[in-house]
Amino acid sequence: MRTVVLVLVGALVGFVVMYATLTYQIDFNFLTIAFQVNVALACLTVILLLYIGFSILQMRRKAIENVSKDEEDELDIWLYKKFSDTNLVVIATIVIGIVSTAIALITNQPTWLELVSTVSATIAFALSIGVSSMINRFYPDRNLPSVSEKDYAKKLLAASDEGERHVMLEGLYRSFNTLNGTLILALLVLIVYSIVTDVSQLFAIVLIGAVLVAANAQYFLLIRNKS
Amino acid sequence: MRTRLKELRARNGLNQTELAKRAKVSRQTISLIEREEFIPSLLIAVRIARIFNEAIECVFLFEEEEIE
Repeated sequence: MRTVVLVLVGALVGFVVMYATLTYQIDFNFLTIAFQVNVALACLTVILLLYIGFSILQMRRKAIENVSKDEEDELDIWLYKKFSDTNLVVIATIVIGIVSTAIALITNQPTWLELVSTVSATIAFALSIGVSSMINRFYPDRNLPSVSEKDYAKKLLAASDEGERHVMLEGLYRSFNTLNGTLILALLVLIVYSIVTDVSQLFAIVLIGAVLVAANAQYFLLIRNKS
Repeated sequence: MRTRLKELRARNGLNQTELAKRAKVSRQTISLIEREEFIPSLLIAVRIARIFNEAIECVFLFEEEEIE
């Protein structure tokens, strides 16, 4: 109930803010700043890629370090946090890289910018596989699946113990709720934007709607079938 | 539920990683149990109690109202 109220309040605030913004800045044209935004995003992607590369090297070095019994727990905590942080940066880099590529291709930016954006997004995707495979280096004695294996996510979940699953469940449930709320908010913003600017966002609205229905159907059908 | 895990680890000179290996779980799970953020399954609780050579109810302490 609390979540529903929060979503509705969020939607209302979003509607008012978006409506006011669009009313006052109706002549705003993204194309005038597309190049600058694209360069900024491409630079950010490259910086994040360097951070990911550096983090992978750090983790590889630390994973084979010989430590005393007293330092063993600290090393595992360090690796665990670094792995989580790097994964977060990887996801952010992939998304920023894709947005950067989209801006470059849609707004017809110079070829070099299109190339930098596309290559950066591709490298980020490749590095995501490299980062995921780090877990096998950390715990070579555990029977963890290889990233290249079919149904990797399913096998990794099966190989996790109950404590790890408890943490994953908590994180995923929170993330699922946030995603539901923000996507509905995004739908409302796109509807207001379409009406006020006369620039149709119907394709995006239908797409987000389909994603919302598919994700929720998968979740609720799974719960229903476990009765 | 409260737990004496930290105290028993100190008594036996075990770090979290070593206890995790012996109990066949991850160090994260031991850490969660120790911070009282997660109640383990009966199987893991028994394994941990055996490692410390203690009865299960001496490692994991329940309040009376939790059991009723």
